[in-house]
Amino acid sequence: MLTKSLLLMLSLCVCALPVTATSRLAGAAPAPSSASAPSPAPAAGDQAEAVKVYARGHYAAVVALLGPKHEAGRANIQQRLILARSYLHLGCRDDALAVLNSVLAADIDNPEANALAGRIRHDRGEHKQALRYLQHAYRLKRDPATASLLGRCHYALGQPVKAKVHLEAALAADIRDPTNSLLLGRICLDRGMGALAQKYLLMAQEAGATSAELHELLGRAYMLQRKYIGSVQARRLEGDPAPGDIVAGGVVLGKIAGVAGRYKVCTPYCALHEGYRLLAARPRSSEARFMLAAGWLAAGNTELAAEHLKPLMQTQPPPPGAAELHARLLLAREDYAALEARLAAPAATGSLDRAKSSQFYYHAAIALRAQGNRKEAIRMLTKAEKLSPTSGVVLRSLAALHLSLAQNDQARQYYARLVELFPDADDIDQLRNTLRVLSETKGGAR
Amino acid sequence: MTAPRRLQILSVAVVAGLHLAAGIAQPAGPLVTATPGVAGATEAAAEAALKNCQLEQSLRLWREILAADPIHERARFVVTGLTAQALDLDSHLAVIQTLIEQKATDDVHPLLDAASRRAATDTQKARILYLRGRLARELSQPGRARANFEAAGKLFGDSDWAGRSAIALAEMDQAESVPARARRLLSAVGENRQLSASVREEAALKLLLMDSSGWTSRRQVAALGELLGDTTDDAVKRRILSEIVRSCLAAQGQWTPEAVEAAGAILDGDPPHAPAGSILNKLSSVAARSQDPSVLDALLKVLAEVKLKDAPLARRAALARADALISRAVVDDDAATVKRRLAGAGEALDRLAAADPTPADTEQIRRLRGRALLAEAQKLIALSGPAEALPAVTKAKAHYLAALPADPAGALAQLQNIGRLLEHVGQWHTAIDLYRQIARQFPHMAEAADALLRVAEIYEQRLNAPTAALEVYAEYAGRYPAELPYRQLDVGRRLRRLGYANVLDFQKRNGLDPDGAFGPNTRRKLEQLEESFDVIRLASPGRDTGVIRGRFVHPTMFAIARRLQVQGRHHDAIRAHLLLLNLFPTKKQADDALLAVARGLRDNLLFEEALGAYTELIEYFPKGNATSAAYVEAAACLENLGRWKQAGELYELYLKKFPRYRHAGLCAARIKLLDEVQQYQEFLAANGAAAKAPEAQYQIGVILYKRLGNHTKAAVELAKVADNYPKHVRAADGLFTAGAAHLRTENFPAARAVFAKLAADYPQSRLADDAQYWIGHTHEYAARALGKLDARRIVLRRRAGRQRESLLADMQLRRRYHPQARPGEQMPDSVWTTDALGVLTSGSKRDRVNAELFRAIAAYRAVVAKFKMGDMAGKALHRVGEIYTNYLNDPEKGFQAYQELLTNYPGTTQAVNALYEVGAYRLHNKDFAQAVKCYRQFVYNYPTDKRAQDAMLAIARCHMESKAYDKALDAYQSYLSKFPAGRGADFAKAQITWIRTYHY
Repeated sequence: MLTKSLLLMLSLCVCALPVTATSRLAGAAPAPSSASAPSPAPAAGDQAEAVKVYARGHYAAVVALLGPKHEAGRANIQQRLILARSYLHLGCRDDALAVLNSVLAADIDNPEANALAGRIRHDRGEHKQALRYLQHAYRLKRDPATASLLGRCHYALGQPVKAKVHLEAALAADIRDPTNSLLLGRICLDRGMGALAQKYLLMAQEAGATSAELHELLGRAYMLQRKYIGSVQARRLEGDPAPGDIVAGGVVLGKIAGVAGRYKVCTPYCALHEGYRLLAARPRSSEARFMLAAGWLAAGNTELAAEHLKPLMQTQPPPPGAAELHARLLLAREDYAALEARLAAPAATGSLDRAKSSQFYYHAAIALRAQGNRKEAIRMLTKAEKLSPTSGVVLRSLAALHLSLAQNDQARQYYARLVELFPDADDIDQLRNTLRVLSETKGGAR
Repeated sequence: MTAPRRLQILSVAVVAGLHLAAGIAQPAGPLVTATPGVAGATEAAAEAALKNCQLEQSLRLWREILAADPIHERARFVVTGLTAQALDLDSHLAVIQTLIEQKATDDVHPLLDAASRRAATDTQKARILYLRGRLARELSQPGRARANFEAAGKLFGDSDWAGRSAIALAEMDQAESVPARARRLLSAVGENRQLSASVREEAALKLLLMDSSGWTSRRQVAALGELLGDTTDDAVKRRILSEIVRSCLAAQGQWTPEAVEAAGAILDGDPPHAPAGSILNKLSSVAARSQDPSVLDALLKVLAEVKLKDAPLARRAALARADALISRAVVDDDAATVKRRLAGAGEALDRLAAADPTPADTEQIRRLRGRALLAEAQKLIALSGPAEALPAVTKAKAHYLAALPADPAGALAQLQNIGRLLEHVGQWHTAIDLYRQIARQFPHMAEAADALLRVAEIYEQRLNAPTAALEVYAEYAGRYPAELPYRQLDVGRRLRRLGYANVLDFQKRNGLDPDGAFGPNTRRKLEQLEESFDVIRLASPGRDTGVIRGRFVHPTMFAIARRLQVQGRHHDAIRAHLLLLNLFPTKKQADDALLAVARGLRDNLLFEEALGAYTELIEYFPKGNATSAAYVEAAACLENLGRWKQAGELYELYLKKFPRYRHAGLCAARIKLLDEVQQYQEFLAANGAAAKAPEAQYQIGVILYKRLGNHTKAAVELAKVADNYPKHVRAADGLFTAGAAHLRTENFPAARAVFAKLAADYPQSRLADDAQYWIGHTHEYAARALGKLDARRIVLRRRAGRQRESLLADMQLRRRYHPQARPGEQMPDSVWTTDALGVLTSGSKRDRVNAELFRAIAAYRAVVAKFKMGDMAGKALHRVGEIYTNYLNDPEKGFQAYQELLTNYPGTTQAVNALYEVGAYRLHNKDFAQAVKCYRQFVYNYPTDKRAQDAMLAIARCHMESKAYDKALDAYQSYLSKFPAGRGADFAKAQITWIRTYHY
């Protein structure tokens, strides 16, 4: 009697285990084969015996034991479920589904049969049908494995919102499965929710997921949140670490000038750190290079940024965003000639749209003007003006620069355009006044 | 180290030298014992004398021993040491005197005692007595001081120190208000020819100072100048010059050129280091602070002429001169001179930098270079404008950025000053570059956080670039989080998250030794717990301590997003709200942000995308404040998409979920209406060509318009009646209601188009003139809203055409909420207006307003021209009159319109107003007879109108103005008889009294 009840408990436990788990069990047990498999179970073939054989991982034996009984219509629901599971382990999905259909015909509200049927449909890519079974199963029994499958089905059907809700439910009940949190992270990332994506991806990492994909997704989540380098701390470090070395989890950004032995170290929760991890996993990853270039540019290290950007710019066509990053790098390096060449580059080599190009010209002009190179600044601004002829800031800068160089005719033209284009500007009276003075007088350089 | 302290150490060294005797005495034992006989006795006596500090006697004895035995080591050692000491007694006393003068009186007594034991000459003894007196005076022991001074005078009467003692006594007498005795003493010293000139001159100076205490500064300076000419001693001369400086400062309260010259004269005679250093300190302070050109010029002259032999002092003088040059440039008004002076300062600093400066001098040179650069920038901004000054600002910025590692606090303060200067002159982008550079180079410092935040604020508040500001705020939030994620929390917060109050609590509850310290055992236990608590496995302890926390920026970001929404920049607003969701999904603004995204999409008629956003809101924030509204708004989107059944289901879901919420009644009503609409729709689908089909189509529109309040969809459905069934009787009606629906959504262009179609295609319709009138009304209304022409402002929703275009083209965003989204709009473009107020037309606002008003007049005129007999003609003419009179400030033309109205449509309601307005116009033009005529007609025709009282008073006023007092009297009396308690009754009575008093 005691043995029987123990076996019943074991059977319940086995049924409750997900297929993957039981597969692992099967892997641990001696592999069943037709040669080495024990001869069919004793003729008695009762349920306890079937459970015992199933627990040993002898699925073929279970099929041999319960199959005829099922064919004969004498198997009870529990036995049919064990049989279906055994079929599943043996890769006979159709047989398993047939058995499960027979179970559902008898008991449509059997949660396990519904869940298994849903799983089979999902594995076959029949997500809509799978959804029907799984939703029913989930209504009957709030099982995290079913919720996870439901989430996957919704995701496959392009319903990320519902997928997220179910995956979150699965994750709340069982945090150990990193695939749930990874998928959730991916969904959040696709929805542009960087902070949530970061949270789920870190949970996946903590649950043991280690893959290049995880680093890539994490890096993207950080990039989305503008955490190119994240928080930076001043740390005292041993030895003489170089920029880019990962020390105590953070990335060394460089020495702090004037203080011996102290370094700027950025947090590991940033794109720069993930970029290095991704690069280690995938040495040819352009995504990793992009993260690193963006990170180093944010950290002000243009040499390392250029080093990582170079391979990106050599690809044809360059990845999206690389051209803009390159332009920003050139601007930071004050290499205005190269910046001009970049902005004038044809689309095949990664040109920027007109508005962005105009902005870069404008920023270059502002920097040149600050250095006292006003003529060059005017040249840059003229290029910006060609790209965005109605830009207020560009026209104002041009007008002021011409005025400062005593080029009154040009200044007057720009002021006239400003007055025409921005009749409701806050300082319209001042603009009109300047225009009037310029029109009335010769000279007027300030 | 301060000078007195240095001297004290020196004195200790001297004492140590004196105690050399003791030091010498130490090894005496073995040496002496080595010498036998008489020599041994002499040695013993010499040693004893040495021990008793009878140094001269000891020296004599040791010399005798040495003469006897030239290789006697002990004798040679002691003689050498003691000779040096004996000869050095005067310098020893000089040191003591300096100590006393510097008020370093501690431990001076033993020094004096030791010196007194060594004193051999009368001069030395007199000096010791003098010093004892000085010391007692410093220690506030006047009796002892006086005794010592007097002893010096009595015992060594004609020595210089006795003279100085007498001067000191005179000072004490003066302090004790016995000036006669003091004067007598000083006179005695001054007349004593046996004393040295320096003492006598000092006494003369004291006497002069005493006598001149009540004089004016000018007289005092003159007297001191006279005395200076008679003085030969350098030290006294310096004291006289110091007194001159003091007098000048006391007189003016600040440095004057005379004072500077006097101070410079002190430096002329190559004075000792200490006084010269003191004077240079004062002059350096003048150089750094003075803003008086004459003082600075005098200072520059003095510093150019001064020749100091002491190299450090000469360097200090050169630094002071560079400083003075910078200060002089600061107060100059000519850009060229400023540049020249600053270039001179730069050259001086270059020379100093090349001459192997000390670290302190290097620091000073660096500081002065920065000051010169900043001064140049500031002066050029003031004198030549920002464009000219920017290179100097850039140089200053580079200088302080380079200096930051050496002097973080000072350099950052100056960088912030430069940033403020740039902001002050409106060089926002250059200021941003500076702040960004700080943030990039020193991200580990709190100042970097401030700098980044300032960048965001400039973008937001100064450059009107909210999207750029949002990007910077996002970067700031990522770099300087206001609150750290769980993995980055410190220990205390880690414990609190696990339910422990503090470390002690944790230790007690986990069986650890409760010592309150976070030791290895406690740390290990916490890590174990965290490991077991799967969600929250932390990074290694202490790894992330020291992260600089920033401010909470999400409220600001949300406010910016809201502003963008109000400004009609829907695409930017949606992106801003999404950024907020991206960064702060758990903040309380998150659901509002998502709702705003949905509404932005809905307002741009992207209903499918809006539905996606509403669904996300409902799923992600099931218990949010905004969620119930999302149900209703999502259902409205479904209505617009014609998915009546789904809309009804959503309303039902609302009723089920929020049965007590405020929209419950609305939902219940709508469910029924949607059923009705659905039935019509099904009928149309099945019987599109049936006779009743147009009616069904019309009814759908009417339900939407009147009962569901969905004007956008109503306009679409009602327009279909005319489009699909143009001959039907409901066609014109449908078009008119469609136009009205467009008006409700403030879509004036679309409304005008529909009304124009109605007026053109159905001219015989009773609604044609109304349609034409409403065309005019849309123009007039837009002009009134745009020009804010009415006291009570008309505010219309703002929309931006470019924003809509960019939103429609942003397929990534649209497909995020509706994967099947296709480029272009979902609804006909006419349903959405881009330019309700005509803001895209060129010209100033006034021009646009006028243009709209003239378009309105043209449209109203068209009503009169096309529909003369219609009921809107009178109204149209009245509006024309109103526009001319009230908005275009052209009452003449307004009057013409009113006249036309009165002539052609006298029986209309508008004629009443017109008549009154014409009367007012006549009165304004002082055409009193005509005005009276108009007003009389008005009162006769409309006696019950609320303006009848005003009209009667106006008649009386016309008579008064034309001095027809009898008629005026009649008019006021008739007013009083008709309105005895009218609002002008008191005024009328007063006027009657006045007329009777003065004209009868």
